[in-house]
Amino acid sequence: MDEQINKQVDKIFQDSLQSHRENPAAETWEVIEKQLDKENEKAYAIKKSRNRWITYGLLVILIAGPATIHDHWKKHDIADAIPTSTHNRNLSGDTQIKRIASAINNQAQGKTVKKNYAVQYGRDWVTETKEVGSVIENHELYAEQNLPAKPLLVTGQGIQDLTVIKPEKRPFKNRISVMPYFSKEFAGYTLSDDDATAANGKEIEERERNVFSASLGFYLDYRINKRWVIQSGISYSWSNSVIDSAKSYAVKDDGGGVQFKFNTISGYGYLQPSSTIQPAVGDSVLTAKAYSQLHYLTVPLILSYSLQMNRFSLLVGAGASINFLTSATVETKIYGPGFSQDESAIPIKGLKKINYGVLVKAELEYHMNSTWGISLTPCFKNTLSPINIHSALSAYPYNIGIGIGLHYRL
Amino acid sequence: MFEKEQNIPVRELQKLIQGCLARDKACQRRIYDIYGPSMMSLCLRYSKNREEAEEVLQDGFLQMYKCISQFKNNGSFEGWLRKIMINCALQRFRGKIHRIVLIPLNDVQSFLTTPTDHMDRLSERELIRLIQSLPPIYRMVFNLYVFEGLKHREIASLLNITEGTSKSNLSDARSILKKQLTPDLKLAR
Repeated sequence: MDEQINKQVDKIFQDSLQSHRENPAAETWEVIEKQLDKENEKAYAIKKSRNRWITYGLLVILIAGPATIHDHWKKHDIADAIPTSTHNRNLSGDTQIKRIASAINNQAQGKTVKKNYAVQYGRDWVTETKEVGSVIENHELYAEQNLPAKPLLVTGQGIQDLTVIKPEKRPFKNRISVMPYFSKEFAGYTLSDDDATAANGKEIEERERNVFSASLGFYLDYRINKRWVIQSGISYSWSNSVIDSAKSYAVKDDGGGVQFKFNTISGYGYLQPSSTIQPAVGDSVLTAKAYSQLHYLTVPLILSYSLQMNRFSLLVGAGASINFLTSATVETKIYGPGFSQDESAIPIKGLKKINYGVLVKAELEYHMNSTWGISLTPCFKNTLSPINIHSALSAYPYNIGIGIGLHYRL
Repeated sequence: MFEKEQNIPVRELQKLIQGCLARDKACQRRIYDIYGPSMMSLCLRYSKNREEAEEVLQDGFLQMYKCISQFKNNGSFEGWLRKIMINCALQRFRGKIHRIVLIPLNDVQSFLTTPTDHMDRLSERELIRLIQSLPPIYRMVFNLYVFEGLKHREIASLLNITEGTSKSNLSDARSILKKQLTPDLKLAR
């Protein structure tokens, strides 16, 4: 019986309150809104700070990375050739000779190899790569011959006085190369209609199309070893789009005035009719076909894998890029009641100054000689975050490009 | 579980969720307008008064906007939002020190702010007020069992009490409510 009454009590509450709705107080939303504003500001600050640190990080990698690798490489070579103790400059001349000879002997004895070895120029020790030959001699014998206190290269051909060997003119020949290039690109946008209340998002998307995109720049390659290459550089890219004729409506601008707002996929611009026309909010003008231009400076950082095939080499790599907006404009003509006016170089607003992207790139090079080569460079780029803010659409540009470049090895 | 899904097209809801993800104020407001009243009703049941309910509602909506990226589109958004609200109510409950008082049934009347004699005369608000008048732990157990359909094992785990305590609290809550609902129920007991 008790169970039945319990069920009855539960049912009374369930049935009665099932469809109950109670409007919260108006102030409740105000409190939520204030809190949201605070959190948005906080999130924006964090994002801004994160972007700044990413920029700094990439710059540090770009600047310090090659230098560190170079330094590491150099130390590694010396360590290969000289036992740690030979760095001690206080050793007697004979000891140094013996140890260097010993290092060479130990590493190359009985082999015909190219090897790094230490050479002394004045007071400085540097490493050089030379063919060692068949190193079979016992350094002790040379030490006994009361040889002069200067470094020697011990080879199958005898004892060579290293001080007369000139250093190679380009100790890092072929390690660094430069490639100026031009790339024709086929660009598009991945769009996200974030503003559900912006009914015109779809319309903006449909009336704009990219007509020309290209990049011009150079890659600086640093060969870490036989297989791996780090690439960076800088490029200037531009992207032109055509926007079909449409109506633009007058809205309040950021400064509180009223202007005709012209929407593009990437952002928006305010059209400025002559000063005699004072639009009211909701007024409209017809715009002719418009042309928008976006210009970016891009700094990539790519890690590539290299495959050699006789005179050809193939580099396949992936990396990240920082894109700096240099200019964004739109030009069109507006038609209103009783007037028409050209609108040129209207700045596109709502674009981020910096955005980040990823890229995948291949590079097929034909080596004309040891210094020059010609490359065909297909590349795919995509941005990681929308290039715009406060727009009806969030635009993530991507492009597929095919470039041609000329390699010069320093 | 008991509230109806709001009559909102899935596509529109998805757009609003996308908007909230992009921190779009208009979308956030729209979601609040759609789900605010039903969530307010839920919060009222879990709170001792309207002020506390509104605080829970604020916490719940803020939490929802913050974590909306975690919502998977394969379930009911309203159900997900309800869970958030209940969690906020539970957090508030856990954050307070509650004295668990054993109340003799004869003294139950003193806990009720608006004594009523018959269920027919009870409006939804009055029923909510009856629930609100329960001691906090009874209110939690009653809500979780009756409206959310949780088992005593689950309630015990949520409220950090034993299963037996949960059963006993539910029984006491029902007794208090029964006494208020109808003299017939009192007699039947």
